[in-house]
Amino acid sequence: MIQPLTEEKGYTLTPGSEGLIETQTLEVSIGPQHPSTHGVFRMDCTLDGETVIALKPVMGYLHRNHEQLAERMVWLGSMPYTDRLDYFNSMTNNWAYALAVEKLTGIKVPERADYIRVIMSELTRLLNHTCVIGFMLQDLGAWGTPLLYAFRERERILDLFEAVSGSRMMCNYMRFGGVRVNMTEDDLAVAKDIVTRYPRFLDEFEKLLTSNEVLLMRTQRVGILPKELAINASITGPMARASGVEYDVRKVDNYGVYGRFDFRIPVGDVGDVYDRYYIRVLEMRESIKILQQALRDIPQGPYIAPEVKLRNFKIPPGDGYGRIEAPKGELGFYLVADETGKQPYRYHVRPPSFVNLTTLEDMCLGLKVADVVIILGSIDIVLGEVDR
Amino acid sequence: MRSWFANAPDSILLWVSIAVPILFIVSVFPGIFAYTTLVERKALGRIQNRLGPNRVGRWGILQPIADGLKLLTKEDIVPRRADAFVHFLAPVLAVIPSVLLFAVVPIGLGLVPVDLNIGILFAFAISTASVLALFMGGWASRNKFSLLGAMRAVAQVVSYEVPMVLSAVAVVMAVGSLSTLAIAKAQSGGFLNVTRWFVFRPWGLVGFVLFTIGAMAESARTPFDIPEAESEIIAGYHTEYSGFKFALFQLGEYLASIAMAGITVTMFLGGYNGPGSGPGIFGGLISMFWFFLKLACMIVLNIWIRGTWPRVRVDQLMGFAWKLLLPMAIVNIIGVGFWHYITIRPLAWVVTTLWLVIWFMVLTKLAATENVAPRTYRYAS
Amino acid sequence: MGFIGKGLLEGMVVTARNFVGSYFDKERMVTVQYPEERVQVPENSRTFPFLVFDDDKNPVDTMRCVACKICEVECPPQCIYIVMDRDEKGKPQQRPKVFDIDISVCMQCQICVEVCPFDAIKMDNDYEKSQYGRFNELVEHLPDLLKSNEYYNKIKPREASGVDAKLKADKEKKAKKAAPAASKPAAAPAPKPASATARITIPDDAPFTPEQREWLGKFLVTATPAAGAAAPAGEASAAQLAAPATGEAPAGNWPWHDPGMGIQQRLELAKNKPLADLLMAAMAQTDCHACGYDCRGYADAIAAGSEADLSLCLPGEAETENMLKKLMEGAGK
Repeated sequence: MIQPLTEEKGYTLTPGSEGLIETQTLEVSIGPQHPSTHGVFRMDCTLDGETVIALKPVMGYLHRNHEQLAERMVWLGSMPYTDRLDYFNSMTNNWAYALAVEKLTGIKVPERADYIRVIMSELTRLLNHTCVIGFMLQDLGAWGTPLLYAFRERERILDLFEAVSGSRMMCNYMRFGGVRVNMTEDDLAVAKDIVTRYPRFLDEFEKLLTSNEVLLMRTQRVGILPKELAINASITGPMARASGVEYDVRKVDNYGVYGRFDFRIPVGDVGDVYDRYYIRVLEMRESIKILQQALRDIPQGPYIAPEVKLRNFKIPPGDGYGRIEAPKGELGFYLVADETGKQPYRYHVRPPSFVNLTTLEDMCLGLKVADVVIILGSIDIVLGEVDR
Repeated sequence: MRSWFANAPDSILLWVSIAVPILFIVSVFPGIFAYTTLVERKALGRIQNRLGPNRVGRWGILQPIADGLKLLTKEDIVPRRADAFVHFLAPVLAVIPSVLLFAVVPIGLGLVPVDLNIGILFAFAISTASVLALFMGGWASRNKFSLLGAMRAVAQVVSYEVPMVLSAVAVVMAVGSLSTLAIAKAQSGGFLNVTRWFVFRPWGLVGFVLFTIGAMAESARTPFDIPEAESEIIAGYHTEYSGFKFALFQLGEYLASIAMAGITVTMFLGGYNGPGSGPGIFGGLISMFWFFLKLACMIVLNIWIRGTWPRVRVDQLMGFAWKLLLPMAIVNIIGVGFWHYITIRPLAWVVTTLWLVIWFMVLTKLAATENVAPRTYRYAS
Repeated sequence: MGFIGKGLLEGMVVTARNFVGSYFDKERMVTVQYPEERVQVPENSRTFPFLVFDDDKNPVDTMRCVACKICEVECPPQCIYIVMDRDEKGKPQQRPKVFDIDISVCMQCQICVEVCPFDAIKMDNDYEKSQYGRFNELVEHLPDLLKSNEYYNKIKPREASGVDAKLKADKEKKAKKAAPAASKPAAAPAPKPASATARITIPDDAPFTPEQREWLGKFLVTATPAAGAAAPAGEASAAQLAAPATGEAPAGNWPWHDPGMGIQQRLELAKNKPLADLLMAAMAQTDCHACGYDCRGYADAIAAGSEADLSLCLPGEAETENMLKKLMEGAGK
């Protein structure tokens, strides 16, 4: 009579075998050195065959003390450091910080500066979303083709950023009360050109991908994030909208001049990887609409509030939280100014990638190893933000 | 010259007849492998809007030589806890079946190194032996990722053997012989030596598709490159190999894919047949030309698919093989039966085509466990 | 009619179109084969800072930097190191002796350019800066950093022409202000360096004995540099003489003379001192001569009444100006 094994004795049972087969679980550490963990990020997976039983994300390999560095610098000095938080989208990081400081001090931003900020932010959203899709497909195994198409379009936008702000990725462009330099008519023409050819690129991209059966098989019904879990875990951004949460900081806060533009928010129902991928494609189309309207309506005028000083900039004591809809989610800066007013007393970043990562385990349980990589790709993390 | 050959003793002739094909295979096909890697890199580059390698020699012609030299001079790292003997043997074992496969591929009229009358059987038996090498490589490395890769490789190769062999059975049934030379000969004749190719028959087209999918899975090419899926398990079973052992793994994989392409060409695309191929020296040279042209087309198809499609997941892979390809292969065999026994040609065409199409639609409906379809989305109010 | 595999075949069509297009269409072959071809960088592109000088024949004397150390203070990763050039007596020259930028630390944020009041430091767009060493080779010293205004105009024509126009306008404004001032009696506000080339003369109605006058004359000749130095005439120089040699004492006499100190701290240290000391403590302590004097000289000039303009301290900006106003009102002047 074979005694069935029980879990009390410490064996791992193969499901469905009624205790007659003992298997061993495999503990694998995916990362930190790995081609597709989007940076130095480690996941301690416990695998039963190919199925994931437990998954523990380990972060912190890219911790650079950003928040403490800001405490020893003046307010303007941490602006270049915010570029390096989410190093993919530097313009939106700058804007979030500038918005937080403007909330603390009540500086009024001129209209043209707001329009320029919106244009830059939406261009950033475009380049982020294409590259996320490209990276996700790279993880899926398409050897670089969608990724390189995405990068081809990204290069155009980066060239525009270089012409306007001086640097392709670390732009350091926003200042408190406006932007650093004005956008000339040439730059606006280049932006219009980019926006005009983008829909054609998107159509080609979609033809390559959206009805590809292999992609559909791999991404649908994989990594489902239920709506309640998304709300409880304070997931924001395209990930939340794919799960059905109708929340977009642009529509809720109406910061900048977003209130003047006519755009819609796509919302998904299932919350799997395919939803997150397709929501991003739809968001890109909406961004193109916003850009067309902004480029059409941009007024002349000053590009920075004249009362703002570059040096010896002081903020009265108080605290405030400024947030924007970064391409990855809600990016917020919590700033506390004390009596001296020249340096932050406390400077905290609420990174969207970090908060979105907390649900990784819940989404991956019961799926295969290959799915873990795709789910991580669809959450869209950047380690600079996660670890700051 | 001819008199020397006619008057030489048998033993010399035997040695010559063994040495010449071996020299030919060993010199030509690794050369094709080397330049296939270059063509693949440049073609993938052009698909991705960039140039491929073009620094080493004009158009990168010397790139394979540079790669070979680099790999030869690299340090050979063996992990300390690895099983050294098996670790050493695995790459060697990966190459041997791939080279042996060329023994039964006819590259021209009557030009096959060994005319086995069980040629196709030999080919499949040998190609399955390469999976042992993959598993040895993964196991001996004492690396969890390599082990995962090795297990996946075994599962994949074994499960794709079955539909592949069954679709080859259809061709064997039509020809009546297992010898590759006979299969190629059976496709000669017809208008321009083209219309009798098996790919132009309904059962042949289905068989061709099934066999190509099976061949891609056998040699672990995208979309079935799971054993070496870079983004998930770094490099699978050849993670811990460096230097020339890695080169041998690549050699084995590419040679297997070229050889399988050669067998596909022989079985479905008419082998060496084409306009102008026939007996005689001139006809023989033309037949060689047609064979290599078709081989190149198959290789280009492989590269094109690699540049476009993402990779399938392991359980989906198995599901695809067992639930769709295998029943389709069996249906195909029955289709060949219909074709053979219905002697009125037009009726045979209609019946066979209908049979295959109906079963295809039924099987895709049954096999689709997940409802995958593009969706529409709503917008927030 | 969608059969299984249709999406896959559509994908292959896209790939094939890109493949064929890469031979004919410029957009589908985007490789720039560096180093034979280079991408033309736009005008605004920035890599590392450099210092601008105006005259090719004399770069060191005509460089715009006056070593006010504002960029050193404002640099976020603290990659600039400046030491002011002083002559043998310790008087600060208006230029840096040492100006090091560690380009392995510099994060190209351009804040140093934005805060420089003299348009002296600008951003280069040369990105080919690889070196073979890891440490000292990546520190750029003053000779490497000095580049001419022509170079600046070449790489950034629009920006450089704007800077040139502004500097010219500033110079004209200063000259206009100096011209009516020069016509006033010697007790007028001090002429600026550019216009002061006259030798110092002691006015006849000055209350000196002949021996004192002789000593003074000799002293003035030896203590002030040759023609071209900033030697304000008249009472201003007398006020300067009240302090030891040309207005510079060993730093120990002025504990607040540290540009890194905040203004409150400086005023604390100068509490209960005479007005001139308080005024000096209110300034930015960089001895940059933006006002036309060094810090001590400006304070003395204001205290003596020869300088009425309280907004000349460029590094100190509005903070210093407001403090000076307050101090002057408090002193009842």
